[in-house]
Amino acid sequence: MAILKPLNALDAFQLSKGLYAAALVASRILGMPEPQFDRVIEVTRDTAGLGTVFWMLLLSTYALLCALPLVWKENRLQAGVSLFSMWLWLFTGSITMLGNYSPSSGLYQVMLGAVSVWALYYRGRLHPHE
Amino acid sequence: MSDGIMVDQTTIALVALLVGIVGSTLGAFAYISGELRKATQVARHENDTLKDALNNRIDTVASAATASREALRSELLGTINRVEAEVRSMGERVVRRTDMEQLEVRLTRSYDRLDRKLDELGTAVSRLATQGGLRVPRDEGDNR
Repeated sequence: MAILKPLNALDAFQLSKGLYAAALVASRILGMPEPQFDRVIEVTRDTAGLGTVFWMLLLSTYALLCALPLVWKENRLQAGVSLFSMWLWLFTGSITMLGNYSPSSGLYQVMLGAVSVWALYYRGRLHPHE
Repeated sequence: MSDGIMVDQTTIALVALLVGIVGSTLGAFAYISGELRKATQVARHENDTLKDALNNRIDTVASAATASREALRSELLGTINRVEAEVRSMGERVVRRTDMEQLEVRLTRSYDRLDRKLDELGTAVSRLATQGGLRVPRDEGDNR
């Protein structure tokens, strides 16, 4: 019996968003400069007290949940993750764009969040374990 | 640039939060729309399945009714044919009986006429006997 499950287009899109979050975490851990995300952390720390540890845990958990369809397909859970990813990428993308930190990265994040609307619609049409 | 960012941080965070919430709400509506679409399709599919099953049932019942009607028709035609044959046979028997009655009448009349002739013959024989004796002429060829 194969351990890895076959992915549909929605799972693949979810996985790509998770990989982006994992890349942000990895760049932070490896000490590589990621100015736009550093600014996001800075803004949330200054306004809501949510610092680096919070974002690292949040993005790591999010990346793991996005990769979950590789071994366990649960449409409702992935719909929730997709809904959260909408907020996550629209939020971080808006900060990045509005602050002129890194417009291309911000635009990419907003696009990830916006396209998730279609992903959520088609995920709603899927059956629970499809 | 950094100073400007520091000044607008709260506004930026609030706007970003608002955008995220609005987007998530839209996403939730999109997901619910997808679920509704799926439920509609499932209901339509079930409706079609039920309709097909009902049509099949109707066809089966109609076929059974047609077969039953044909059987009844055949039975009725057979019964009608048997009754017609019986009526025909009865008619023939009636005709034969009528013929027999006519024959009986004719026979009775003939018997009556024969009876009268016998009476006349008896009377004639008696008259001959009283008038001069009745002799039966001997057959010349008879030598006994």
